[in-house]
Amino acid sequence: MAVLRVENLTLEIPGRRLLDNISFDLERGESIAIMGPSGAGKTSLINCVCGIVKPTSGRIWLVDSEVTLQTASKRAASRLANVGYVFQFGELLPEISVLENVALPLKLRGVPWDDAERRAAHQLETVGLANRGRDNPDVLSGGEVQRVAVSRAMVTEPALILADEPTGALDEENSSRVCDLIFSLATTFGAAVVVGTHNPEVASRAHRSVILRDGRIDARARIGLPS
Amino acid sequence: MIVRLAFRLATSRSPEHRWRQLAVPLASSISVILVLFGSGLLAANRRQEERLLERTPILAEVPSDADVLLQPRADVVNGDQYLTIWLAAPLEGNPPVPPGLPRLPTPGEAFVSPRLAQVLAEDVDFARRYPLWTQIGSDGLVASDELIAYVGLPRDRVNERTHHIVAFGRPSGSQRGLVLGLSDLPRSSQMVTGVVIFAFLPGLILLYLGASANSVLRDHRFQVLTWLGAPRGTLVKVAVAEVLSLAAPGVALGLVTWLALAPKVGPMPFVWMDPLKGDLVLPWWVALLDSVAILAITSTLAAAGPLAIGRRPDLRPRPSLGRARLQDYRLYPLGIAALILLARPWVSEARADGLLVAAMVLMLVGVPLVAPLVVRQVGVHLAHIHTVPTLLAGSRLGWDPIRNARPHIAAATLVALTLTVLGYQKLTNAEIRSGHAPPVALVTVNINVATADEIGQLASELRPAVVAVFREDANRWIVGANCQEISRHIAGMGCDQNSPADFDSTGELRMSQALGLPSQLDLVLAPDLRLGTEWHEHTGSESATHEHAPSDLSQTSHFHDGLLVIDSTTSPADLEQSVGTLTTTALPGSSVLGVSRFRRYYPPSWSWTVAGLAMAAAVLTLGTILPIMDRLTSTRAQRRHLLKIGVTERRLRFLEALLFGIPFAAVIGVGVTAGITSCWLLVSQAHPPGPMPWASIVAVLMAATIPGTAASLAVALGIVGSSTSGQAE
Repeated sequence: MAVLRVENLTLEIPGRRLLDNISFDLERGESIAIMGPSGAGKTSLINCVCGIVKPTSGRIWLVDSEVTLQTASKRAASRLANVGYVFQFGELLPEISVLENVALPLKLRGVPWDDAERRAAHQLETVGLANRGRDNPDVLSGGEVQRVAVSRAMVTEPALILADEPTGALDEENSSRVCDLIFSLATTFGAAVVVGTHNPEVASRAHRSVILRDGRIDARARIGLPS
Repeated sequence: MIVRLAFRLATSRSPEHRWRQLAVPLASSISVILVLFGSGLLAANRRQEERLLERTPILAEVPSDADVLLQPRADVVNGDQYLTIWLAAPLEGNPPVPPGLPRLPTPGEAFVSPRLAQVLAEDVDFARRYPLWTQIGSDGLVASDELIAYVGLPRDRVNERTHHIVAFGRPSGSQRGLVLGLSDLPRSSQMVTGVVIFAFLPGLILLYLGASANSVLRDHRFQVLTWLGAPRGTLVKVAVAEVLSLAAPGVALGLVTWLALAPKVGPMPFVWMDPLKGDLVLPWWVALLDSVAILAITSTLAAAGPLAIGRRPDLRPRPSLGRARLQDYRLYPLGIAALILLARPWVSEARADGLLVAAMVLMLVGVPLVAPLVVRQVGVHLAHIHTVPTLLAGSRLGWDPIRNARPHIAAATLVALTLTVLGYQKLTNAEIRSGHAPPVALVTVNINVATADEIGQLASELRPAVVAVFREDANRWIVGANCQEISRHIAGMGCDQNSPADFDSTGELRMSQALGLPSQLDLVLAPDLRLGTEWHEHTGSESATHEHAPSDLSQTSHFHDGLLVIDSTTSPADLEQSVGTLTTTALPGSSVLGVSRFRRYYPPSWSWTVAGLAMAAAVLTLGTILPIMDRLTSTRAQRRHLLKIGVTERRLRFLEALLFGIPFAAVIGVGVTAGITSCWLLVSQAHPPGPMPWASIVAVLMAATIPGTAASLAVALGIVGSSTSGQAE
């Protein structure tokens, strides 16, 4: 059954069409890389998928529910329940510790305090940052920040991982490490992955790649790669 | 963790959050003081009403010798009216005593309010009226600045208007009482309206400005939480906890300040309310309730912010800005104000003042609403000038006029308020001048009982003044003097050539003006009029005059006799003073009224307007500072972007100066227009309409424009401005 189904998705702002009639499905455990030049609509597509932006037309199903019919608060609830988001710059909250940052989505879900921190600690362990849990994010390096961000996205074991240029601000070594983490961790609990990237290396890890040009999927550039 | 996250956000050391850390406590502190002050005014009003009630003389149902006899009179000292309560002790029994007095005053003795005692101590002439006086206790006073005297009256100096009093205190059941006060206290509903509009509302505006103080850090935190899918409830909890962490200390400081100040606050000139010290003190639970209410409102205002973040296009992961929409409702207040002003000629005089106040309030409300519309128009035109900074500045003003106008709106409203106050002062001064400086020195004396000898004695002591009996009935004012006597003292008053005792064609009008008589009253000269005698107007050759003894005045209740004193050789104030001094001792129970009794009556709404405008001006001064700082803290990212694309520092400074100066000029222009209109409306209310206070208006304009111009220059020269050195966390 499809975790994500996008059907005829169109997004417009005054004077411009950012996404034009986009359609694709994503099964559990499957991954797709959205490639394309800047301004092609990669971030807009990811924002529509997770419900941050409401599309102008078209339909999106996430797990069992149609996101496009939901109110903003329902979309937020759906995002919390089903999506893990990895941002380009980590977007950790510096007021709370690394461990608390990772535990935050669990606590937002109402998971008991101790349980949330235990699971967050375990998640940090899997990304090699078990000893940084009590630190504040502002003492971490860029690569570490992004690994914590991956942990935060994975800790709830969501059905869908969205990653918007997750390696855009990292060097090659860290880029590779973060990429490995995203795809390997997602595989462990069978999450589907949508990754927006410029980087062909990152895209090559996904089962499928599509290229966006001017808001449309470039039909000539559909690439289907086996896992 | 939510609370911890919020608390750590509130106490963050990030420079991006520093402004909010100052603005929220400051605004909440001043807001709570304003709200407590407003509640204190209501409490003071209630206490004043209670004290007024407690000194109410209760009228006897059946007059008896055991009653205290009471005659309230209005007198004047130094242009101020004061209340004289003549009291005659009963012939038998223990007399009731008004609160604040140890006993009833004996004839020749007076109990006076502290303010009147001060005048007695300072004014030797006035002190001759009450050679023997004692101060009234505070429980007998309605207000601290009250001018009131209880004076002993010989029991044989009363007339039919003297009241028989059985007690002083709150009337109960079928009891009837007299209100002892020269001017009515504001009604509770008026007080509540005034306090809400002029204390609570400015407080809330300030609170809103503080609670919505910009913080890039805070916006980012809510942005991330929103992306993560945090439920609305969580966002609200974080927002409330964050703002409470900042507002609670401010509210506590405001509360403590108020608790320390309230017992010491006495007269307040702007409010024209003179509470006794302690009147403004609130019960602890009311003060606490007010503080909690402020915190609750702050929380509500803060909670709205994060909920809106999802709808803010500039805070999405990839901003997609849209041209700001300006709805038509922004024109409604000014439109309604204009309709009210257009309708004024058809509105009754009784309602005209209220409508004028409403129109002015609407105009002031309209200033912040209309300002963005003006800024957008200015921006659109500016963008057509072909230089890079004007193109960028004009486009930005046209794109988001609300955000660009916001920093200057408080200043514009302040200017409009100040100009309105100027107009009001001009009106008041014109009225007071016309009241204090009449063309003729003239007073009237209301008397209880007087013999011809006493009047003769008074006339000789006041020589060369004309001392004449006057009689007032429903249709006429009859003066017991001839035209020649009076015309010596009233310049420009003509007498009939053929009958010198009568007016000529202009004489009656001139004297009516001098007396301030309404046009519907006929003025008649009757040299043969005597105190307490019946008098019939001459009709042809027939006349009839029946004399009664002066003591028979009590039988003639259909008319009212008094004395008219006119003297061109002295000033009106001196005449008022000298006649008052003579009659208080020579004619107990009498009162002297100068022209001050013809002063125009101001409804309480006027005093509240002045009070409120002054209050709002003070509050909005702070409100001016808050958004300007906000603006400066919110432009850092924009600067960084422009620098990155190669805009030079010099051009950037010029652009920022335009972005600061142009909306400032446009928005202040709106405030000036509204203010001058209000000022003109008020000045035109004076009788006769006075000139506009242009010198003061220019001074206000300079005071308003110099800081903005200086700020624009400072920004242009790089002296102040948003730093690009700091980075958002």
